[in-house]
Amino acid sequence: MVKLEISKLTKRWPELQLSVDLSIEKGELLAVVGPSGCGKSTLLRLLAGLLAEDSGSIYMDGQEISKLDAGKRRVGMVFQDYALFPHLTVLRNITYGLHGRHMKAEERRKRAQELLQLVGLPDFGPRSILTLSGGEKQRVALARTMAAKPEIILFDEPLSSLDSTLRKRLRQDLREEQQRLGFTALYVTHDLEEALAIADRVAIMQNGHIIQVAEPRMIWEQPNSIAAARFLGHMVLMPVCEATPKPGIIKLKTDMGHSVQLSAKQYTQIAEVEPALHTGHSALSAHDFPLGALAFERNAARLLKEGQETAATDCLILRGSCQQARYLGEYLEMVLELEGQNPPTITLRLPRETMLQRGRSYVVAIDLTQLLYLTA
Amino acid sequence: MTKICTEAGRKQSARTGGTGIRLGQGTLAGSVLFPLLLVFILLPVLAAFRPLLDGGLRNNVLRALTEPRFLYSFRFGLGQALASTACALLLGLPGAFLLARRRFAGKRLLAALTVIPFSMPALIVAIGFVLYYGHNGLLNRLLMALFNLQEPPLRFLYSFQGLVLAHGFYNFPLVMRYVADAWERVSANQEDAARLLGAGRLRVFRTVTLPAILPAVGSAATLVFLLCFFSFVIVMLFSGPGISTPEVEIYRAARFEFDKPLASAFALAETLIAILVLALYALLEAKTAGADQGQIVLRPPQPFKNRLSRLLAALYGLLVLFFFGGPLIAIIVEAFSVRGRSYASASLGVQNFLRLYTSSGFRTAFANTILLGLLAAFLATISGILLAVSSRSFKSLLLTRILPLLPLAISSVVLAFGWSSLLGSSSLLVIALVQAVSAYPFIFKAIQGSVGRNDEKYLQAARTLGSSRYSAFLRVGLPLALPAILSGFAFAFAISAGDANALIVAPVSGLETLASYLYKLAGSYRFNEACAAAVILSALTAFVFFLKDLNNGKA
Repeated sequence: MVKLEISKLTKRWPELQLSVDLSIEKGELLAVVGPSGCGKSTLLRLLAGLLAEDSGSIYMDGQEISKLDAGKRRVGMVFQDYALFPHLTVLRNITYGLHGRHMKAEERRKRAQELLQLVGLPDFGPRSILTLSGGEKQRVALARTMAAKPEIILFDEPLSSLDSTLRKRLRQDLREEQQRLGFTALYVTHDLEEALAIADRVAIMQNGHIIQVAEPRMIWEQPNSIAAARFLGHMVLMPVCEATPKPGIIKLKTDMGHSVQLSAKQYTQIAEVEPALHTGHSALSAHDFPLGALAFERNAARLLKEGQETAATDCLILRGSCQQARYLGEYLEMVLELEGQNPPTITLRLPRETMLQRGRSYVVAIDLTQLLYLTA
Repeated sequence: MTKICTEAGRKQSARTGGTGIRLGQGTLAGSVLFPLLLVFILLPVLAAFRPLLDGGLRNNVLRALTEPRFLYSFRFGLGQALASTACALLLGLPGAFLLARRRFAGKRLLAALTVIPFSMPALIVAIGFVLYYGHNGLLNRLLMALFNLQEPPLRFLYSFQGLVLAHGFYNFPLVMRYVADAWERVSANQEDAARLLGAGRLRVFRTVTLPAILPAVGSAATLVFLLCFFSFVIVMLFSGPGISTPEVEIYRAARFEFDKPLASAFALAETLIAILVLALYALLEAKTAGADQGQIVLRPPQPFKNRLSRLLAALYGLLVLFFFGGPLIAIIVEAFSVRGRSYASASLGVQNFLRLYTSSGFRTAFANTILLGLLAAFLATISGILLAVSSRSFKSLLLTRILPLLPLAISSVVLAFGWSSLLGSSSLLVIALVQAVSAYPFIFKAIQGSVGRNDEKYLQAARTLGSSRYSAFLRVGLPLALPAILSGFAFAFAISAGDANALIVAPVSGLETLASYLYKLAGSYRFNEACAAAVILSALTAFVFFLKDLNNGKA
């Protein structure tokens, strides 16, 4: 088990500039999640030594490995397509990395057999790769990678080509195996749910930068920026036109004229993030939200009955007409057109038993404690 | 040759998102067309073998086996084919690597070379070699002038070595194309996985890259072997003492010795050997196709890593230009050289072309070439389409892979004899049939590549939009397959236009084509006119390819 530190690692392409600082603790599984083309796979290839960085360093337990050849870094990788050698049997795939290690053929076979046992495929040694299912290939790829005893294993979207049921089962298997064997792992995926389910910590990557690293709960409940919240997609973002920080609190006014006062806990990030407001990672967010956004989870809104409005204190009250109501099994999705000029629409998630009428006016309330003030 | 067509088909397929031809369920096609086409191939072959029965099969076979030139020609023929294949591999593999893995200026030129074995008749290459490497050739004259020599220093042309060099250079672009295609498709992830597992560069190549390209190397090699084994016109032009292949012996025995049983025995043995090689080819082809593992991460071509590799690539380019470009340049130089009474004195001009233009024989030959080319290409394309469609209803390897390629195992010399003895005499139709059958495997491959099974969806989409089966075929299937069909047609036309074999073996009185005219000019050492005719013939086939590309561009 080793700790991996990535320091100011950069790689420039015409279409993408990657710049990453990140550290992965011993025995930790860190998932990097982000949209396609954000640089996740490039990061893995840089770590593996398959691609040369422009600048920066990679340390493994304090030792710099960036100058080492790919084969000498003791970094293993499970590829998206598994990259198993089709002309070799399962056993010979697994023993591939054991050649040149002063091991006798018998020892190599024994080690491969142990690994096959470990991944639950004890009788698969003589099988051809072409006869394996997706899940079996994934396990063989893991066994092959582990055979070489790498210090850290990189996973490049290893489940993306499988169907969703199998994917859920295998990610659980993989997590259990990682915890049992205790290897350090960096897991890249574009699937947010997968990242949250499998990782000790999740890093959100966008346009070649890591914009937030935190435990899954933290990432979900307290995204640190508009860009992170937008990627997660579970929050309503309302542009802010006035932000007045005072000791211990901040007063905000939205474009729609709603005024709220948030406690320090809800905007602690502001001091750190504010300088980056106009130079931030996501130009789009900065442009759309020059002074940041008031954010809350889509399922934090409560529908108020007539007459309840006055009783709702310490809440953000929003009024609007229901444009659409969609029953989505676990919840009811309401598209609410807010009152005002150029009215924006927001999408809320309400309990599924809620009854809504299209075109009718509704009032919803969000507890002030559920609000966050996010900047670019 | 096959690969180019396949590639053309595959590229078209990729560009158009696949193409589709489907006539009914293929049952009619399968039960009627297959046997019909077999008759077209088997009938002439059986007719060519029939004289074996004259005077008793056993006698004839024994006589052939005890004939010294029988063993000699087979030994020589197989030997030269093997050596030529080795030569083509040696020249083609570095080119394949460069095409698949490196980015450099002039890459398009190298890639364009790969079309040469298909669009440039063997006859022209042979003449180019004579003019460049021959006793009086450009190279010898150059060396004599440079080193003040009295005698030409290079005297290898009319020998085993000369034949191997000509065959090797003629066919290496085929190896290059075939192997480059496979090399491009080697999974970058598999190579990277091997590196991460600690393998050095050499071991990655040996254990991952090589196994992936080996089937393609094998199938290219067997195809080149067959083409060299059946090479006729190059061997005829280079014929010197000791040069004899079964193909030439069949011709000699039948045409000059009137010993048809002996010719048939040669033909039978030659065909059996070729069928064995073809079976090997089909097996390797199947393996190449079978190794497809769905989506593969490809490695884009990289720039050269260091000076040494750049130098080696430049040397390779110069080698190709010097040995292979030389003969082609010699043809152009000769075509525009006007010689006086002495061979050494020459000036530049277009008189050779004018002389050709004013000769009525040439004008007729030109018209005949177009007529015959169109007829042969039409026959080949129709049979190619029908067989490609009908082969879809079968799953057997024998039926779908070996049988359609059977013409590769039957030489045009055997076919020409077969047809002319079947129909009593040779005719324009016989020549067209021979050329069509020789050309058709390549068209079949082109079209088969574009009638892939996963292209059904387009036809099904058309059906759901209200088209009848035949309307869907006409409005969707045919237009999608058209580029591949046109490409096949162009290849067939080029093969027919460049083919002199059929007319040499089974001459039709009064029928002359550009290729046979060229052969006669070269045979009577009228090289300047021969080269002018070669330039015109090349221009004609290039024009047909240009028309095809023009249409593809529109598509």
